[in-house]
Amino acid sequence: MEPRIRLRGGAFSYRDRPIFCGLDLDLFEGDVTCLLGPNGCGKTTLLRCLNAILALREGELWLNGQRANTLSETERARMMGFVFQEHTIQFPYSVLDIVLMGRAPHLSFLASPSKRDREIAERALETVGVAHLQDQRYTEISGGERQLALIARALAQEPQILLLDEPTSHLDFGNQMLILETIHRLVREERIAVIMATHFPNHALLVSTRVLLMKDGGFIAEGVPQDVITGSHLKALYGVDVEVVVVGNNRGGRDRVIVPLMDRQLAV
Amino acid sequence: MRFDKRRLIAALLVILPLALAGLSFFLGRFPIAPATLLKVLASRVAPIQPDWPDTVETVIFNIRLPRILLALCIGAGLSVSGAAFQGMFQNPLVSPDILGVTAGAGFGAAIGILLGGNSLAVQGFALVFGMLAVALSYTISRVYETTPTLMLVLSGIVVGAIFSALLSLAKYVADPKQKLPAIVFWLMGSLAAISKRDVITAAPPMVAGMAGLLMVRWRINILSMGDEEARSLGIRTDLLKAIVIIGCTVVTASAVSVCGIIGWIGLVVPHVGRMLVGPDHKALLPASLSLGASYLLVIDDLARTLISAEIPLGILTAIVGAPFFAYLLRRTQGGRT
Amino acid sequence: MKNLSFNRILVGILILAVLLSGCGSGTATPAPTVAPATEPAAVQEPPSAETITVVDSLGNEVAIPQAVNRVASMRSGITEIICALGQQDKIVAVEEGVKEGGGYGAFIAGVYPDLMARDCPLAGGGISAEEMLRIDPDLVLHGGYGRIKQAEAFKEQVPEMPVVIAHFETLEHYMDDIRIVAQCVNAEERAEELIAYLQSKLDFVAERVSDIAEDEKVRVFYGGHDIYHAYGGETFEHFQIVSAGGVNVAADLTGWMPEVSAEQLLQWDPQVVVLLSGVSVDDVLNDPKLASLSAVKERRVYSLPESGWDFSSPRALFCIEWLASKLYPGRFADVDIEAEADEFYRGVFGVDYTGLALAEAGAAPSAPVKMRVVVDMNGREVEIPARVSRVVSLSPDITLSVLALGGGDALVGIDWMSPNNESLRRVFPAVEGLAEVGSFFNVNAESVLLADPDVVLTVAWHRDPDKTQEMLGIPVVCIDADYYRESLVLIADVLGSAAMEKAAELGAFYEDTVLSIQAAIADVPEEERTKVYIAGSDGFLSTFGKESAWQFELVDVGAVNVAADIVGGGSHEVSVEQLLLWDPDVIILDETCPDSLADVLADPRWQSVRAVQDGRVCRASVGFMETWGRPHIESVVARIWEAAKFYPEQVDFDVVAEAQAFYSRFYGIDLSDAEVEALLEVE
Repeated sequence: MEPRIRLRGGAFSYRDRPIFCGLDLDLFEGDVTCLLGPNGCGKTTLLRCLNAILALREGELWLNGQRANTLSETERARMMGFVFQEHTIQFPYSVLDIVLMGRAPHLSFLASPSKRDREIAERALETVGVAHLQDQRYTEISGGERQLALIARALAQEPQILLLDEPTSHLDFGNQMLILETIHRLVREERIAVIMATHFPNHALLVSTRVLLMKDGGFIAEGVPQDVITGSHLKALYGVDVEVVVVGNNRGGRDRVIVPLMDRQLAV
Repeated sequence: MRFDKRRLIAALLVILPLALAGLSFFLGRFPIAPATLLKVLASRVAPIQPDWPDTVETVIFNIRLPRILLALCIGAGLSVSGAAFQGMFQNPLVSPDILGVTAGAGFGAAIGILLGGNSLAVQGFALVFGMLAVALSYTISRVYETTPTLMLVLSGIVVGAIFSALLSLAKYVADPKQKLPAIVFWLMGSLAAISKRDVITAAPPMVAGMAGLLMVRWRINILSMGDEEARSLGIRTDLLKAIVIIGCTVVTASAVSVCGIIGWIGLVVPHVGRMLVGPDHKALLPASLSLGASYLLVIDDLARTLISAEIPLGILTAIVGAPFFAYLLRRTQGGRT
Repeated sequence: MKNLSFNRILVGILILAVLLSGCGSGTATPAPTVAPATEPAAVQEPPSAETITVVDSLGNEVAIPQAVNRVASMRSGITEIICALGQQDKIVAVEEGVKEGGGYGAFIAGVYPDLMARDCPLAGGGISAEEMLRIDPDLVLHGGYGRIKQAEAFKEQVPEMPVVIAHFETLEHYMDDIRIVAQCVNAEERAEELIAYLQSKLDFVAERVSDIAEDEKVRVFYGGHDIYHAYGGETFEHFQIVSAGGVNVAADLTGWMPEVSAEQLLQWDPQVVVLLSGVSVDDVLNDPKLASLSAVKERRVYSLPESGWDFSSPRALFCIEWLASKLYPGRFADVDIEAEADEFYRGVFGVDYTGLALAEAGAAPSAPVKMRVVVDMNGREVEIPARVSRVVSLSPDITLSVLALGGGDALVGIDWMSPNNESLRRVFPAVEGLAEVGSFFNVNAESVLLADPDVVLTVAWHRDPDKTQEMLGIPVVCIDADYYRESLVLIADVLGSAAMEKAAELGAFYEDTVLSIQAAIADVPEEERTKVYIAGSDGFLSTFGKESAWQFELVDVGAVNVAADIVGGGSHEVSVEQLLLWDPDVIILDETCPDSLADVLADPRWQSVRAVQDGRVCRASVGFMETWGRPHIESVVARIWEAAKFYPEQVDFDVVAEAQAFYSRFYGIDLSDAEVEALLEVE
């Protein structure tokens, strides 16, 4: 099966500050790949390079089997949707307005969204479960709802690939779960390939099919979650002692959970 | 119901400037009986024997008509530009001058006046220097073949400051009796000296610029989310920004070249537009067009009828616009309702 | 021997008697041969050898002296005939029109202004018998339908004075009436020449219009004081129409000037309307009730170019030719009516035609205004009306110049700064009522059009005067007030001859003043010329150099500007050392200098300067009209003040008196001593 994304030898640097180099990556349909790593490891940059928001300094990138640099911006945007971390915006667009922006890659330069585009946008909202918010102002809904709206926008692009940049970082516990469940459902129902950067090892354990541990501009481990997310790896990644615990879940199976061991020693 | 409300607002916005334009014909210091006015206008299409003195025709066709047309164009153009720039710069407090077009045009006009040129020369200088200023801002802001918004703003500030300084120099060396009042007055903005010829030189570029902006107005929504998001959605941000900048600059430079500096319209009218039709630029730009045209038309009517001399437009738009803007700020608590 | 000398005396007396009797017959008082005229218009006794009989228009036989030298002409038309016959010197009394040079008498009084000096024996609507007897003419000529009563009344009062009626009310009898007058003034031969000429004119017209079919004749309405008063079928005007080949729509009306309604006019629907001289054609063209009249629609509404063209005067016969050329322009296309008018006037009165233009085709809203070209101070050739009576000024300096030239009445629109000038308001209170139309950099076009000026006066640096001119449709003249002598002359040229005299006066006054100053100080050697330092707008340590108004002033009054080497206009900063080096005799603080006199005098840095030590430091005044800082006529007062300050020994101006004289003479305002002192000694 053709990988949706294939990266070989990817490298990026800002001026003279190298961010990552020598990265290889494959993403297949049905994958939920999590990029796990500390702040500044380059995962956000990597995602942006994959989305061609930033240009790779070295390396080759194929998207859906085509070389990325032969694709136009619109073609790329039809393949990949990028979900940014939810943030405040200056103008009080309605949620539908926001999601409609996702139709841009499918519209000619001078065109604006048609009725069909509206329908697709509305369906995207339904898919993420916030169709009832479509006329609300984006600035007036909760953080989780905003993140979902952004996911809907990416979905409106009708992409085969979804890139999510730390989608749960600023959300409360309930909203975090909401996002994860939506992603899980999307992958199963829409067969979208997802690559997600995240801070939370437990989230990776809950939802991903593959995990890439990234540190200092390189992958220190990759593979299935239970193999990669181990105490020694996390200690190497974050410098934190953890205990991996296995618990029963609500589907009759078992889930692994990371419990951090806090250092309670007082300074002498 | 909401849809009907939108339709109603849209209809009103179409009618408003047209109705005001019609009304404006009847206003002016030179008294013309309404019946006579209608006959004179009709006489251009129907064979009606003239029973009015030539002066009446002069007033209607040489003085009022060009002013009304240009007031509509300029008001519309500055508002559309303001709305577009506010979207592009992701900041509702931006006005069309942000890239220095006004400072450049002001300086150009001052040069024209100092050199003793006629109206056409002054307009030409204003236009050229206005566009030059923006070109300069644009060039300075280019980073690795991109034009990041922040760089644009900073370049605009720099270029604007340069031309403002040059303008001050021009004012300093200007003869205080002959040239200085002309420069100062030009800077305050006025349609007092507008003739038919000015309509022919200034209106087409303004209309073309506005058309360009209106064509890409929906995409400005996406641009307003930031460069990265826009690019992720497949938008060629540099191209779109260039189009918006060129469109706004052509409109603003043409407007400033023919009527001097009229502030506050590009800043305030889009806000009123947002209050009426929301932030979606697809509706906002046309709404701003209509509101801006109407607003400047009313202001110009006041400027030429309140007293027997002329009041500069820039003063009136500020006196009316600034308090209104303050009210808006308080009401919307800074733009977020 | 005794007999011879006695005979010589006798012959001498006889010759003397004959001579005396010969002279005396010219002033023969009514001889006993004339029967006492107790009944009016009675047939006189058979005339003596010294009188002749004239049959007047009424058929009366009137005995008049054979040689007439003194004629009272009580009708302007008759006066014109007498002048046409070359006998104007015989006129000793005239009626009020000629006497005052107005109305129907205006024309002939213009040609022969001496006539205005003659007596006018009219009083209370009638002829004053007393006056007439005092004037003692040989005969009285009178006539006209409306005047018969007057004549009759006079005849009753003074039956012995011959009164000859010459009507000139019908075309038929016109020539006979001329002969009557001719008899009265002994100019029968000339009369025949005149009659022949006039007849030839009538024949000329008749020839061209005689073959027009009745139903093709142009319908004419001839209006009286306005279009709602007609000339009916019994009037001279009616004959004018008929002779010109037209049809008088009001021919059925009788009486002198019956009123007609708009409906009547619409019913008649004249194709041409003729109005008396001075009646507004515009009013008729714009009258909504008459909009559908053929004459109005086709704009064939004319007013007579001159008063007197309607009847009685021989010019009324020329009017027939003019009228015909209007009724049937095709038939008179080859006729240059202006040339015809000139020929007629020269032939009959010996002068050129100088009335309003005749030759425009179609109706002009009013007779087109004669234009002339002036060259303004930007070198533009501007066409302005020959007579300018309304001007708009776009700059305070121009406004002041217009006022100084006596053109205050002509100002109809003014710049927005002048009304703030208190002194201006004093001198010209009417300025407050004038419309402010803006300034040279900012003109409210509609306000200007509302003021309806003939000319707009603006500054030489008005940005685009051609554009303004085109937009307004009103000529724009550019004045460079910095060259105020030339600008005064140009403004005066625009305003007219009265202003030109004033301009010359002002210019002469200025020159004389400067010359007298220079003469007074001529003997002062170069080294002793007063050195003056002017403190400028950037503070005490700044001054004005070579290219400033101050330089010219100082040169004019024979002083030396210590900063004369500095090139460039405006204020230039200087150092303290430089000031000490210059060591001026007098220091003047320009009005724009921000430092106060007290501070300047107290400052230790330049205490050693001679001017400070002598206390010869003062501030320049802005002048009454606040113009002393710029080149302007009023600056001559500044020069007087300076001359007195710099050269108190050589110059003995009483500055206050001179200033008062200037302001009184050129601004028409009398300032008190205190006011002038306050004006001059600022700070």
